[in-house]
Amino acid sequence: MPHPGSEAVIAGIGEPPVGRLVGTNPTELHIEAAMLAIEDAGIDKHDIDGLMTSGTFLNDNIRHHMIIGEHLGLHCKTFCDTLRTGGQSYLNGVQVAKWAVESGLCKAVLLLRGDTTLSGVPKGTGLKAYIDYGAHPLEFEVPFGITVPGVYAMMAQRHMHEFGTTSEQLAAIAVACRKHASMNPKAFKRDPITIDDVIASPMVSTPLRLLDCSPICDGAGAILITSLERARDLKAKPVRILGTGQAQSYYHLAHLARATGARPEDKSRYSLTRSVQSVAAKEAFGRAGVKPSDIDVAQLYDSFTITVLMQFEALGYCAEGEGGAFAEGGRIELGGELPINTNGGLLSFGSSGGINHIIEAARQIRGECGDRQVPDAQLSLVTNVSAVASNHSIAILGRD
Amino acid sequence: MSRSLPTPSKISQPFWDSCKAEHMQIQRCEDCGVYAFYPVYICPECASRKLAWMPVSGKGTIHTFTVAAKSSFEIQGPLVVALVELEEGAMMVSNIKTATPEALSIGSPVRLTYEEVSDEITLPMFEPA
Repeated sequence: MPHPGSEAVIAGIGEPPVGRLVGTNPTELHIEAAMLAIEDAGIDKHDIDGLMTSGTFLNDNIRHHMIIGEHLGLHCKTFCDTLRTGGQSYLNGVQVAKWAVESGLCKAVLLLRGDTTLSGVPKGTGLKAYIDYGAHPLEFEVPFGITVPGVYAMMAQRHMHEFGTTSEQLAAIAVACRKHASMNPKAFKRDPITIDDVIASPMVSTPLRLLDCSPICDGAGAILITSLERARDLKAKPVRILGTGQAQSYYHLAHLARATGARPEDKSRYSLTRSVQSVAAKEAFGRAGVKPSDIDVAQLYDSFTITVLMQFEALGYCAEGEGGAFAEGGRIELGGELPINTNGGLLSFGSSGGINHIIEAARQIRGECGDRQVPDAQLSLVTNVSAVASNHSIAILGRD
Repeated sequence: MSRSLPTPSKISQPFWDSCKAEHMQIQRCEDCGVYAFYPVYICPECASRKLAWMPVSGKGTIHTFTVAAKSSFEIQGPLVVALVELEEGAMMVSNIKTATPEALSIGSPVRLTYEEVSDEITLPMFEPA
């Protein structure tokens, strides 16, 4: 336990516009996001001595953080890294930044992401380029035409088979995200949609339709983490990081389905529809000392509708197999039991990766969400997921 | 565009050779008896180094599948990507060759077939049994 005051908090956030950002590039977006977070916190740039980026799809570098650190003029850092856990890099980064600050290694750590996957990649070639980038195993799955929507579709198909989950239940998640995006002037997709609209949208890979999939979108984000002591002297309201947790498993569907390598007594806990997120959740809730029902608002990683549905179960909001029913009836909309993705999520706010979920989670605690603010939000849950729902990171944020 | 084809490695060469011979083999752990797929250096269950290449029966069931609305490469008939559970217990991603994907369901039996996709590579595929 860190001594009082040395506890790490989120002291600044930065979020440039999202959408089709013609004429920019990933490096510029990183710098824009960083400057917004630095200005939001009101911190002297020279006090930043830790930096993490997550690499980029375009203009990547093996030491991507060095490119960005040099552009920012962050001369000598005592901790740096380029995170490589995909969409879940950002809560991974929050946890590592927390350790760096609380151990005394760093005074202030900047966590950044930015990419132009929409405007920077010729239309129709993005998915192939993503696969070629090595985002999925090349030798035993890609030759069979597997795609990112395809693997999540196979999870959805299995969930439907095991538990009777319906396309309408998946659609309810897309509808909730869009409803919230319609209240967010910054969101990429803002026109409200209905369950019928989702069902009528073109099939991508059975059973997932176009509106079950998050759109490819340009975007960026920045988070500044420092000690509570230091943050209290800065401009923005500190946001506490009450609990964090992580769990990572595998790429290959076969090994996820069989929980290959798990202790024999643990094998029955995991399957294609039951990820290791439950382990990360137990850790995060345990450290925060709160229960799922205590949470006021949740930003759940939503690459696809099924990604969210499975999390209701893994996070403990409902029993195994009941994620579909949980999504229905407005329960996950503003005013409901667990309002999710109040900025619109990846499904409608846009961007990519999980940093914007964290920014919205912090904003809810700061009470700055305008029409979409959850009244008196005290506890904010945020998740990041990547790589076939195999990499998970979770944080629970709260007030100073 | 054509399929992205695998580049066999030291550990996977015997697997791809067996597919080319249309007599697919996967590894079985001589210590714990578990069949492993994809090819591995040690048994992922018990860490034994004693792995032997064993032929499979070619019988399996569909664990899950998806029918892609479009394929990124040219293909005869619909692209069905499936996770197949082999009779031996191991699972693998493959394609189901069928003109009527609407008739497929999870749990239904499939049998191994092969498709030569290049001079070097023959892919193991499945068809409804």
